[in-house]
Amino acid sequence: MKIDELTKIPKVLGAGLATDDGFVIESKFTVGYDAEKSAAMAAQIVHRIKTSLKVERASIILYTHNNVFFVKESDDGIFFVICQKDANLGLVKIRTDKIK
Amino acid sequence: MSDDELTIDSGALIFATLADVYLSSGMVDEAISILKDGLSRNPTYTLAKIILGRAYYMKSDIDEAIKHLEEAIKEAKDSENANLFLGHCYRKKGDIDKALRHYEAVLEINPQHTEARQEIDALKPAGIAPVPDQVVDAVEEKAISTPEKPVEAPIETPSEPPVVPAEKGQDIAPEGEVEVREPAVETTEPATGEAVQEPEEPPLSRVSAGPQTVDAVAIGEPVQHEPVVEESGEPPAGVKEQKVEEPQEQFTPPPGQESVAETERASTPEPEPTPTPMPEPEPEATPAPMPEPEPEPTPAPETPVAESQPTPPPAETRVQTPAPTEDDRTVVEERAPMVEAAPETKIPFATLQEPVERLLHLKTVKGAFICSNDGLLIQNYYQESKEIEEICAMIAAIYNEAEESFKFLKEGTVEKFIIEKENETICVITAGESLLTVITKKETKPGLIFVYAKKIIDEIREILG
Repeated sequence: MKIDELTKIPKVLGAGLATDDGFVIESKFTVGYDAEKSAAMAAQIVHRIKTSLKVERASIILYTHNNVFFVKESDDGIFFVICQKDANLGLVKIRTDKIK
Repeated sequence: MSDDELTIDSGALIFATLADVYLSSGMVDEAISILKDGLSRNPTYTLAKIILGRAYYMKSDIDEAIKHLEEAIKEAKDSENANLFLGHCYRKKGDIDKALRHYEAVLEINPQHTEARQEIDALKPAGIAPVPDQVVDAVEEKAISTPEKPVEAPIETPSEPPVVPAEKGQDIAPEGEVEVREPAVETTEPATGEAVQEPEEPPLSRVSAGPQTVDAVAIGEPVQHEPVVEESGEPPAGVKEQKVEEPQEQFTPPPGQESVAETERASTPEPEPTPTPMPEPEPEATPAPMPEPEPEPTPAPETPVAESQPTPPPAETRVQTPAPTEDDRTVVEERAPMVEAAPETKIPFATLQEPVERLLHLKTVKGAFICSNDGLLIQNYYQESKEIEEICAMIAAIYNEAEESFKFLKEGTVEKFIIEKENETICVITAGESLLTVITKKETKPGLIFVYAKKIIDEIREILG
């Protein structure tokens, strides 16, 4: 549901939900993106943030040259979204912030 | 960590910066190792030689320290730090003449250098503190310290009958001696009766000057500092005693003894200065701080009598602002090591000051720091945090984790990231091999942070490559 909402936003390449250990629970990606790899990466970063900064719920936005990754820990697992850099990041953030 | 980085950057400023960080953390051997390695690739890097000399000095290997500092000073005669540490080294070796020569050189370069002045005062036999003429000139320009001139002044002073023969008065600062500061000022402008110029400024620098003043007194006139007072400008001409308040003793370090005690004290502290990251940035321009010693209450230049300068009450000098001055100086000096030495190359991070300050002025920004991507602190603008080095390491760990993950995903490299915590947000922007981290309150606007950070990033790239 939440994933569908997110992927409807223009230039969002995909979104998914993963377990704490990086397995995909649910995902929706455009062709060319590997949900499993993304889930694994999201889990790894979340783990790192939690151990380093000692936060209860990790939340990070990562910018690369072309894309932006939103990773957020929620009650259901680790939520991750990949979108192009020129997507409406504010809107994506608002949607991901709604995830509890 | 640093091995790779050093391999890459040893030709650049970074190894000296890292070494300085090591020194400030007391890791002298590591610093020496880095500097030697860096210098082997970049043997003309004078700043690194100075830092290496300082490292050996901190390690108490005086001969090695002298060797490197002498080498550095051949290439950069105007280096304040090289001269200062050479002075310390020779002082430790017992070669007072050479030590004095180097301390005086420091004063020539920076007449307001408190530490050098104190060393000179401590080393010189009671009272006679010759001050380099150049210093005087410099003083005039800045109208700051200049306590030394008093010595010369006596000659000029004739205009006013130096009333009292005070002589060694250093300790004895009878009532009226307060005005240490002025002496310098006036001195600057000898002859002309007015001499007033900048009575206010003296405060800080004066301290150091104090001793010198004493010398002047020693020359021959005891008590009558009054003239001096006037000159100093505080009390309008004639009113010599008004300022008596401060007993010269306060600060007065007995020339002889102090020299020892101070020397030690001084010697130790200096190396420490580094602790503060250059910070300082700071290095932050060393020069700036000095220019405006806070205007103290001192009434300005009213004293026409100035010429009497010659008799700057020794004791007073010391009395004046020993504490404040020293503190300020220390701060300045701490950063100085990196900054000052830099003139030849460029002051690392000094150019960051402005954009960083703009960023830090944002209400939601708690602080910022720059670290290498392997977690070593490079520059700290987040003074409140006591665990800054830990935070650096954590941020670098997260960055590296993300970087690896993105490589795995073939997504390229991380440019920046935002971590949201319960009560704060951390914005990290990469700049070559370094990371600029901005710690903000939860309600911050990341976009705004990135806008302000961009300028800083550009500067960092320029500095560190």
